[in-house]
Amino acid sequence: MIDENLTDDQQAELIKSWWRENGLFLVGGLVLGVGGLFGWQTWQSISTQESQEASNAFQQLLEASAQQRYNKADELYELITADYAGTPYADSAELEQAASLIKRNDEEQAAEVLRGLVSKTGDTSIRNIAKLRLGRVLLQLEDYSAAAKIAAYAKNDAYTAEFADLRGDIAYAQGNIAAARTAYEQALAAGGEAFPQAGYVRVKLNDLGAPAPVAAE
Amino acid sequence: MLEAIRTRLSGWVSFVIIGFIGLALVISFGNMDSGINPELVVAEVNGEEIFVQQLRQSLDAQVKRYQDATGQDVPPFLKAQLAQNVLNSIIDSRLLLQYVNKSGYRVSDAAVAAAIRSMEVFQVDGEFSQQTYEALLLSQGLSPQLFEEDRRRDLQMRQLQAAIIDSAFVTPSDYRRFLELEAETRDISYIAFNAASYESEVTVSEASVAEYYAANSQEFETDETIDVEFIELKLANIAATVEDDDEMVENYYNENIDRFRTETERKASHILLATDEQSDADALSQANEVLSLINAGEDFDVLAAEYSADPGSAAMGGDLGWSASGVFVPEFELALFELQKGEVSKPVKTQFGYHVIKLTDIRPGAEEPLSEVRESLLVTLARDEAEELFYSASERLDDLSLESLDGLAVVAEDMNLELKSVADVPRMGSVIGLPVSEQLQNALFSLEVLEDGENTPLIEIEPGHVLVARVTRHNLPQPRPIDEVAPGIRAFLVGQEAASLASAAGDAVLLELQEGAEIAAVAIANDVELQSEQAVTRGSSDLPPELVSAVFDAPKPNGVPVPQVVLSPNGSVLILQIDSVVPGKPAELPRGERDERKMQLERMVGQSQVAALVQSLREAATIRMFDDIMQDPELL
Repeated sequence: MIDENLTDDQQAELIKSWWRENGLFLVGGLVLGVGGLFGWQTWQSISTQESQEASNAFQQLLEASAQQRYNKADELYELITADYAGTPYADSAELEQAASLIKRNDEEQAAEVLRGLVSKTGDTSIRNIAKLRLGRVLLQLEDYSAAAKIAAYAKNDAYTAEFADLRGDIAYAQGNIAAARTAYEQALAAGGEAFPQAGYVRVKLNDLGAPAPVAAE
Repeated sequence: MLEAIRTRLSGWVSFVIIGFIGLALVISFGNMDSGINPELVVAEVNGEEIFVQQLRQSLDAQVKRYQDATGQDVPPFLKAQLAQNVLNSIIDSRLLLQYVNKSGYRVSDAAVAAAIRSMEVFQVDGEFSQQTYEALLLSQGLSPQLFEEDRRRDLQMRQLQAAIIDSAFVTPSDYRRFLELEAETRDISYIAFNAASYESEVTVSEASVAEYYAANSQEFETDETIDVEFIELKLANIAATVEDDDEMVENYYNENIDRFRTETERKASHILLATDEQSDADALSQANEVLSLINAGEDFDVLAAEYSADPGSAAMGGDLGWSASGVFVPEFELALFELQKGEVSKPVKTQFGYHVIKLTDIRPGAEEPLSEVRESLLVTLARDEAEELFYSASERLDDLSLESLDGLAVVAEDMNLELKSVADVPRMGSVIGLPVSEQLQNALFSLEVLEDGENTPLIEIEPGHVLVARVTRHNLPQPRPIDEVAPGIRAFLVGQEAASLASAAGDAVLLELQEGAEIAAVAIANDVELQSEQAVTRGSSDLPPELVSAVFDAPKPNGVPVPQVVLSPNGSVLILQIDSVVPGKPAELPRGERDERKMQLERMVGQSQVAALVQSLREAATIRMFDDIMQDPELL
């Protein structure tokens, strides 16, 4: 912008005209930027405060559940899922509520809660965990077709072994030993050594008995 | 340099920069003993760096646990594995931390404070003590802010775990199946072929012993060892030679007399007539009025409550408490120092207004006499002197041994220290007489010391104990003569052959069973004993462990028994058959045990789901590991 052939006055004039053309945008941008920053910080602090409130409520929910004060637990569950739906504590409260309903032998209602969580949550891991748990509840309710639908899992990732184990249990409950064997074998193959339930899956697999002998030639 | 930063930068910018430098100092001082730069990065997790120092801390803790548990050092191959495991768990917890932050788990200040208050280490007589808290943090080189942020992170992580692990459940049907399997019992039959009983049938020739000796000569070598000589310095030994020096104590006392003296302290009260809301003249006349009321016998305390504009003291009769000099503004202090006990001053003008001051009490300064502090000074000064002597001797030892190219005898003589020696120090392990130190061991077996005959550098065994050493002889592995090792080789070959005879006998029986023969008939035909056990459980401890695990690893027989081969560590072979399987009966378990099993199962289910969560974070993350650092021997 600075040209050595121009006099000082000319240069000053050039700067002034540049400022006339662009100054407004510059100031505007600055205002927007600072304003945005301020707004972001305000939003952040509101959202942090909201999360902290939800966090306290969740802590109370855990205590109430542990002491089997279910009325209080139900109240806190309603509060967290209604008022703090934007925080992770809403999902946590749903998981906790399902467990508490199982303790109260209300499998139907637990299935409802988990079904709701599966459709609501934006977190893939929470959704998979909710599905795994929903599958177990449906198995308990002997709703095998719904359970099998939930346990179907095409992806090959961290959750593959868990879902395969669930499918094995469903097949076993239905008396389908061959399918159970296939599923447990898939679970062991997918989970590898690090799969915490590998030992138990192996026990379940052994319990199916030796595979039917292949017809001798 | 700090001065320059302070003058050139202002406000928060310089604050931040100085903060960073401070942090860097803390970090590097904390790790002066390790040879590797603590700020090197060992891994990156989604762009966040994990530093060597963090790995080191966890690794050291793990190594210590191993040593405490086994009483031995961690073998090198295991150490590399351990380092990798530690790094993996650091990465896992970093991934969880990132997930917790991103998901929006937040714990309030109040919850953090409550958690800290309930930590037992900070409690005195069951109550949280702020003083203990601050002192403990200080001793660990931690600031309360950092510590509190750490606790907040812990709590947030715990909330995530609670959300998944504590909410894990086991349905009644799942639980019944678990108990049936867990408490299952199996009835078994087996035939044992003991290797020992075949030994009498085996003969091993001289020639095969010689052949084995020749083919495995390395197995029969003596260990590589070194003979070592060393000079050590111990603070305790030096301290024992330091004598009490009364003259030095006296000099120290006189030169540092201020430390043993307390100042005169005064207890003052005042009534302030402020000049911020009324004119100077009005304040002064009011002050004089107050003074005359005092002189007329009115109570100073009452007047202070009524007139004084100092909110801190008015309600307490104007009391300002005890203070030495330098606390109050000069005009105030000057007036106070002229008062006798109980006297009240004329109005005194300061920047705040007019004060009427009363000296309510005075206690003169005191001096601890030399006789009272002599004993403790003697101890402190003797310790200081011993430390000084120890450090200068350490430095001298370091210098002399560095210069001395032909052994340490000259150095020992020069410094009038004992030259000690030990023989047959192995690479792994220790010998009596040589202090145990990993650093020393590494130095002795380093190329420079072992091959080139150099002295080791000065090595600190522990604070107040240093040494230098050199290798006087390198005892290379030597083959042991065949006469010495022949009996061992013969026994080994006999055992090996006997085991293969046992195994062949077992295989023959196995074949018969597989062809459908009854196990009882097979036992009779082969003239071997048929053994059986009823109701074997998963936890059976009266059978060999390899047998129990084979019993339960075997698939449940579907009508037809399936024979199994079980090898035991002593070379024996068992041919095993599962006769029947009886599911566990949940109703027979005591209630308490049932509840406990259920909780264990719920935990396993929850932990398994957390593990899947961590694994899924790993799959989605960008993780870089810097293997060259992981393999650096300085780290391990």
